[in-house]
Amino acid sequence: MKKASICAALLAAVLTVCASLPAAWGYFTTYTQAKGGYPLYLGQETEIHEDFSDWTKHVTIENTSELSPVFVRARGFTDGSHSLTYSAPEGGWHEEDGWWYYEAILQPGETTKTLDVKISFPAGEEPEEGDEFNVVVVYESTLVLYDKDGNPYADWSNVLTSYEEGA
Amino acid sequence: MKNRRRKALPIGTLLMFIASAALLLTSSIGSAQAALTYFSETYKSQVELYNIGVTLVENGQDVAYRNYGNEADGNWEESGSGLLGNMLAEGETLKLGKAYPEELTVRNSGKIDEFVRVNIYRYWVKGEKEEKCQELSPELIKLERANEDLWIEDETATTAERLVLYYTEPLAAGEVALPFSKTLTIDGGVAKFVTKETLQVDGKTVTRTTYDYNGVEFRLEVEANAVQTHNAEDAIISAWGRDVDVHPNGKPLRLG
Repeated sequence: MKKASICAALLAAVLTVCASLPAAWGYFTTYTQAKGGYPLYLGQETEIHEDFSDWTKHVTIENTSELSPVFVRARGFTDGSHSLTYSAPEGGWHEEDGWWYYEAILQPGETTKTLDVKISFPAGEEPEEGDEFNVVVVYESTLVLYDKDGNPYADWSNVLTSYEEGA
Repeated sequence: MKNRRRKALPIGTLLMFIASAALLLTSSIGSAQAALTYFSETYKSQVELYNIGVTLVENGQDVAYRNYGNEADGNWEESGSGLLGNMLAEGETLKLGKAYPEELTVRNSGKIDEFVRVNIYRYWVKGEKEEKCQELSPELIKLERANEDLWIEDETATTAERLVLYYTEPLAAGEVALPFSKTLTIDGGVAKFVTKETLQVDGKTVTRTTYDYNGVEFRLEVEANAVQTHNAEDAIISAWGRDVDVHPNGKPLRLG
């Protein structure tokens, strides 16, 4: 009898403790989350177009990519027997550090205005028909980058494509 | 005549009876008190204690929330519209290097005070299944932080992909924390990760460049957590697994 009473008392105590446990364990918490993003489309293909007349290369560069706008620059090289003179009859180009820079961003599908590269000869050394010259126009392009305020700039330390055209 | 002899109650029985009556009386009072206390606590719990809620706010707009329902019936009110939905205008493409406004913060949308923290994840994915690109650098996804004295970083939890920030102040019901970020920038350095190939095409030398980051998508993911301020140290280690010190003076919450 006495043993049964003790067991009942212990059972009651255990039940009481268990009943109070959820209150001790429960904390009020919640959470929420969200995510988002955008794809990057990076890539460019450019193509040079040249016409040659009157000892002048008429150069344009086309951004044939569908992905990214680019900046382009170009310059010519020769073997030293003659010099090169540049001009931009339609404007849009300027010279700096030996390179001619197209001033506008070249959007996908767009073509630059013409850059003329004229082969000049020393006085009295006019070329004759059949003479061969080696003039190479090199151009480079780079992706358009932006500063934190959204102003575009070119990072010419990161040239993307170099394309040489033999002549 | 029958000689009636009243049998007296034994003294022990009498004492037991009195004791039983006293116990019954006091136990009834106890029950009444317990019942009153019980109902009182339940009432408080349902109206005040149970309504915890948190809302993630982006550039002044609610983008996700999860609040305990007003009916206190165990249901949660929750919704989310996603981050960065208004970062670009329609038809606009992402500009590398530009700092886009991304002011993120947390609002206490519940009815009790709470401590909050945020888990910020940044990573790259590709394909329809959005597989993570482990080889691409999360650090090129730059979230500029704000109010760094109030949103303290848990450096033990920081990885290249994850940043965990604790708001040191408790948020009262309806209160909005100061922002933990200002801007989001995709570093122009992504353009430097390229694979180059030199080809001869029709007598011309062509160097083609393939961008490692072309076609991948960046992800910014933010999870806001809230926990009660009552018994905060125990609540936080229980809910978030993080030791903190909660002091009444100075900064209320410090990482332990």
